[in-house]
Amino acid sequence: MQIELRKEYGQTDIENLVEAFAEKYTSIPKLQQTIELTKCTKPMMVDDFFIWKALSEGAKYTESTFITYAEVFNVLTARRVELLEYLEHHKPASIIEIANALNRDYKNVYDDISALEDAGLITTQKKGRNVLIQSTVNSIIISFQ
Amino acid sequence: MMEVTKQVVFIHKDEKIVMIEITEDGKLKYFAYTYMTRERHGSWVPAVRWDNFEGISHVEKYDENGGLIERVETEYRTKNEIKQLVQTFRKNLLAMHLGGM
Repeated sequence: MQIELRKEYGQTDIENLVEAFAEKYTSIPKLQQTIELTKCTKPMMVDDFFIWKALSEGAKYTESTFITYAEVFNVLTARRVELLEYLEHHKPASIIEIANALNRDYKNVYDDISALEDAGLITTQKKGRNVLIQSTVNSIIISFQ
Repeated sequence: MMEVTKQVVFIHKDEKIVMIEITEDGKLKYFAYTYMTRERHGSWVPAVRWDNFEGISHVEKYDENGGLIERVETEYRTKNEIKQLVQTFRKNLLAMHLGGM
């Protein structure tokens, strides 16, 4: 069995991604300086540098996650899939907004967001007093190999 | 046209390969294939990484804290070859000589 979680980023998604890089690292030259000093200890920062640079130059972006173990269904519960679907169509500014829209308890939504973020299926980004929550998935394909 | 693709392959709930490729007009400009493990406190750390940072294809090994312990030049391997290699050897990769592979 293989599960493919896929997202093709539209223009707005890419702009949000670039904005998140800017918030995290300030500027591309500054990140370049940082990786020259820390490339041996933080290799994933090198990836961020090249991705950010390419996106700033107009690159397309596609992200896929492949999972081959059945335990993933511990993460992908019906409620969490519903949450992913909601995030695909809405841009909520807070967890309360999601909880209200889905008619769910705040704590349960918070726990689901933590679990999905831990599995890399959503990203969260603080924006002032709000948290921008985005899905990294817009399709889930299950195939039996 | 430039394209960025990121593929994450979970081979176990605590082990994954993060594969980044940047192509321009179909030509591979940058790649980084990183085998990562999840530590007890929940964070992901790199274990073995193949990339062409600074234009040279090389493989790196990291300790359990994510500190670089070895870096050697190696020939380019496709992401499918790396995926196969990681799925076969997993954490044993750290004890293997990868420079010639």
